Amino acid sequence: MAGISANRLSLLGRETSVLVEDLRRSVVLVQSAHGHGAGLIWDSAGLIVTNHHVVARDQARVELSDGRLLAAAVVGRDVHNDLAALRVPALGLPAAAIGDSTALRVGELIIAVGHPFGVRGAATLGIVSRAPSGPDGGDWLGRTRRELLQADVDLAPGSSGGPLANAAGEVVGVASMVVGPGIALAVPSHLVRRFVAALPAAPPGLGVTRWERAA
Amino acid sequence: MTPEGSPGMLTSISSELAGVVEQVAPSIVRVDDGSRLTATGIIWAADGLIATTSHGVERDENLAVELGDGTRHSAALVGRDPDTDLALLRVQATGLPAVQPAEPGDVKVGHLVLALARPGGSGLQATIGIISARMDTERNGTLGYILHTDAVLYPGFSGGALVDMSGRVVGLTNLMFGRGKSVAIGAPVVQQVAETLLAHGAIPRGYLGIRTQLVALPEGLRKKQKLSQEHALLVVQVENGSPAEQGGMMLGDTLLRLNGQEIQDVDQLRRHLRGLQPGQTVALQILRGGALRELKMAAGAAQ
Repeated sequence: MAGISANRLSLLGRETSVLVEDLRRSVVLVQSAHGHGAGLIWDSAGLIVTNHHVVARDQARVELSDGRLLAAAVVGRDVHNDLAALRVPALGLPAAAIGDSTALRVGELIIAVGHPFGVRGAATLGIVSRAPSGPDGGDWLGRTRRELLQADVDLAPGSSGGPLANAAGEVVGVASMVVGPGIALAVPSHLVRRFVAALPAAPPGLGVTRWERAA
Repeated sequence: MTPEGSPGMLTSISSELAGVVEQVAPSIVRVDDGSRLTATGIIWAADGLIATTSHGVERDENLAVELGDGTRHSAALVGRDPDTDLALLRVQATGLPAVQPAEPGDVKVGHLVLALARPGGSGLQATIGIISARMDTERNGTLGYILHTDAVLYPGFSGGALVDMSGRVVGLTNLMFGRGKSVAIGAPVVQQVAETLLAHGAIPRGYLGIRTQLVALPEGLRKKQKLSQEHALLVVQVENGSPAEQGGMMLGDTLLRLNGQEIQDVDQLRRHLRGLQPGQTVALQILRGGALRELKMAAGAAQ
C-alpha cells in the first residue's frame, strides 16, 4: 500500500521530535563574560557540563529550558579536551542519558541540540562521519591532537557545549568545534565521563561554594 | 516491527545506515599520490580497476592504493579523462570487492544517499544527504548523469562513492567539479569513461615545453591592456625543439590565456594541457614587452 511508507515516515518524524523534546530539556544556555554557549545537565543534582572555551571565567549564568536563571560556579576544567563542569543550586533537574561513544559506528544517526547564533534549542540531524578511534584529530586541528567524534551535523557559534545524541537519545558527545559547514567535532562521551568522575564530590549545601579546580 | 508505536524506529534506521557504510567500506580505497592530502578511489572492477578523480591524482607515476584492510598496492595510471575529471588506476590484484552500480532509472532526486571516502590516514568517513539534482548527460551516444547532493564532502572526499540505501553506487564524488557544490559523476559515466580508457589506453597530455612562474600583473598594465585577471605565468624556460619554441615563444613572455581561457596559476595550465590531444593547435595569448600577442602552436605529447 502506498500509504504505508508515508505512515512510516510520519511515525519516524514523530519519534524524532519526541527524542529532540527530551534532549532539549537537558540542554541549558550558559552565559559568561564572553558570550554564550550550550551546556548539558549531567546529573539531577545540578552538575552541568559545557566547553572550557564557553566559560572563560569561573562564574557563569545558566538558563534552564524551563526559563529558570541560576548562578553557576565552575567546579572543574579539562583544558586539553575543552571541557568544564558547572554546578548550579538546584535539585531534580532533567539529566541527560549518557551513551557509550566507544561503541559508535560510522553512519549512525546523530542529533545535536544547541543555540546556534542564539537560536534557542535548535536541533540538527546528521550521522557519525568518523568514529572517535584514538587521539587522531590532527587532520583538522594541526597542532592539537585530541580524540574527537566527527559528525556532519550543522553547528554554529552557540552550539558549543551542547550534546550530540545517538538515535536512542543518549548523549555520545559534547560539541566542541565547528570546522566548517557540516563538519562538527565533539568530545566523545567516554572522555566526558572520565572528566566528571575526577571531579570532587558535590557539597551538601548546594551551589554557593566556590570550588577549587580539579587536578 | 509494527508501524503503531514503532519503538526504536530511529535506532533501527540508524543501525541500518551504519550497516550500509560497513557493506560498502571494503570497496572504498585510499589513493596515495605522494601529496599531503590523499584522495579516495572506488574499486570499480574486481580485477584491480580503481576509479577516482583526475585532479586528486597529481602525478602519473609512483601511485599507490591502500585497501580498507590496510594492504597497500602500487598502482599504474590507466588514463585520465579531463572532461569528466576521472582517472582510472590499475592494481595487480584479483577478487577485489568491487562496487555495485545502481540502475540509472532508480537514481532519483530526493533519495537518501551516503558519501563514503577515505581521506588521510584516519579510516573511512561518511556523510549523509539526499540527491538534490540530477542532470542527464549524453556523451558519444551514451546516456549518463551528474548529481548534486546536499551531503557535505570533506577535504579528501574527491573520488569517493555516493551510494544509495542499498549500498549501490550512484556516483563518484568530486569537490572540484561543482565549484563548491557537492557533485557526483554518475555511475554510467564512470563506466563509459573506464571502458574508453581501457580500450584506448591513457589519454596523452598535451605538452608545450615551457616552465613558468606565477606573477602578479601590475595594476597599470592591467588597466592599459584591459585585463581582468590578476595573475599570469611568466615563462622562465623554453625547452629546445619544443612545440613552444617552434611556435615562437620566448623566455620572458607572460602567458595570459590558452585557447581563450584565462591562465592564473600552474594548475590551470596543467588542467588545460591535459585536455589537449597531441597535434592539436593551441592559441596562446601572451604579453611581450607590455604588448599583447597571439601565438599558435601544435601541442606535443607529454612523455
